[in-house]
Amino acid sequence: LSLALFIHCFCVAVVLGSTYVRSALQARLVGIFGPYTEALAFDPGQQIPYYYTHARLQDEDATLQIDLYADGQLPVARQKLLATVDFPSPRLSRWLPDYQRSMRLVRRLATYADEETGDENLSSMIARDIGARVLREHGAGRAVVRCTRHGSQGLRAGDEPEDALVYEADVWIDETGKPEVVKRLSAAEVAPGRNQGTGGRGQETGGRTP
Amino acid sequence: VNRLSAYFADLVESTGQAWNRFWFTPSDPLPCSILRIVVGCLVLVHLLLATLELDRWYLKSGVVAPESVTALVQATRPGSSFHWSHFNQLGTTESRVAHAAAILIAAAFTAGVATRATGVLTLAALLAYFHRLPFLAGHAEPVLIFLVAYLCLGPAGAYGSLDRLIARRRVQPGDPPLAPPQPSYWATISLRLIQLHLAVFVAMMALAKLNGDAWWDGEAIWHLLARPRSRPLDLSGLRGYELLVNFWTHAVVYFELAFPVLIWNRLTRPILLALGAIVWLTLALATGQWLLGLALVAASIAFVPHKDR
Repeated sequence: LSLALFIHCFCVAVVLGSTYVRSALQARLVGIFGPYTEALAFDPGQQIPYYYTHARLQDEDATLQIDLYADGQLPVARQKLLATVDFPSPRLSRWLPDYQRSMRLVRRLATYADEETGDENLSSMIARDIGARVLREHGAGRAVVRCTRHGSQGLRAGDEPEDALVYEADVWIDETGKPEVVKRLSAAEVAPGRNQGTGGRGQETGGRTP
Repeated sequence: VNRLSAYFADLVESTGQAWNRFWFTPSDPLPCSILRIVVGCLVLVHLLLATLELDRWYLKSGVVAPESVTALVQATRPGSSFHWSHFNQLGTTESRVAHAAAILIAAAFTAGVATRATGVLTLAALLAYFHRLPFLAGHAEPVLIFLVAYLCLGPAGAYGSLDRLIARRRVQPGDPPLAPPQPSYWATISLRLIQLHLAVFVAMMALAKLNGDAWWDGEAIWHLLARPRSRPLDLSGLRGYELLVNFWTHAVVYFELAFPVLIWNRLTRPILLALGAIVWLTLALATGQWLLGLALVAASIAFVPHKDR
């Protein structure tokens, strides 16, 4: 029993103690413990931002505006706009996990939309999934998904917030019922240049991992 | 050489004794039972809130498809594949039934019905929600998971449970009265694991904050309050009070750095427990993570001094 307790405490201490920056040794150890600590969610730090903010661009709020159109096969220029849906919905309470989860997902989309440090496949995957879900909920066939990053007011006067369109894509349901996505533009094409990583020491989730 | 070997023999002997005292001194199961009720209530709140978002997030047809979850988890944690969830396998109706069953099981655990069995099932249910969307899981979920996991080990149903009540009712007139719950070393192990895990968890939260400049320059709290679309309360009136914002930011970091060390000291423990409630619950005003604040305060109950009966 003592041995089991020691091994367990050692595993927990190593994974939690090296959540954001890991040495090669720690990464090797965590790789060994992985099946145990990940299965029991003892290693949540890399997925959940317990720092809340590092005041970087990717920590800013981001929301989606989704224009809905009826026909999945026709281009939007030849269709009438059915409705525009906000994601997360402003009607949801910000105290609810639903709203907070939606905001984290869109923040992630905005982060992956960055031309230099992002990943276009992942940003398009998120846009496709959210777009397809909203299409199904509203019985529409095609959507234009726009991601806007909302700047925050600075602590001192004169530092006023700006909004920036960072991603735009067409999402539609094809003949087989499968959602498709095509990106229209991204941060480098539309957003005014702001320094990615301002104030932060880590990367997407706040850390440098090997 | 003799003095050196005597020193090491003494070191090993003392460490062994301290280890056994720390882990295996039998203790009253009352703190475990109190924790079971408090943690069980928080798990129920978490699951009832999940009811509101079951279709949107947890079903296979939810916002993020299971295959996208795999790709997004791999992006932040390459090589990771340990996130099995029954929600990825079940259809809509089966998932709703599983959700209702999870609520019933958590209620049974809270009420103290077959506590170890319902505890293990509650843990399995919580893990299924966590692993469906690990990168979008709530901040409180990992805390609730480790609390339930450790409470499964100890006799958490010894006090204030339906099992105990039923056993008492079964005592016939003339039978000897039901014996009070006995001190158990499993109660000690359960509490010690919660204490240790909480201490390391709080250290992790502090280290996470120190990984960015905003928590060093004292402006992190302001950046949370200034987020136009996610701040739960409009406290932007604090813009003119830079020193107050700095104090709030530093207080959170210093407290979370001090907690894992000073909580073990008998004299500083009450102060830290009181400060913990203040820091974590006020931080929830800026982050909206009220369930995390409550879960951390609940976990701190494991440190409340208790005199064995």
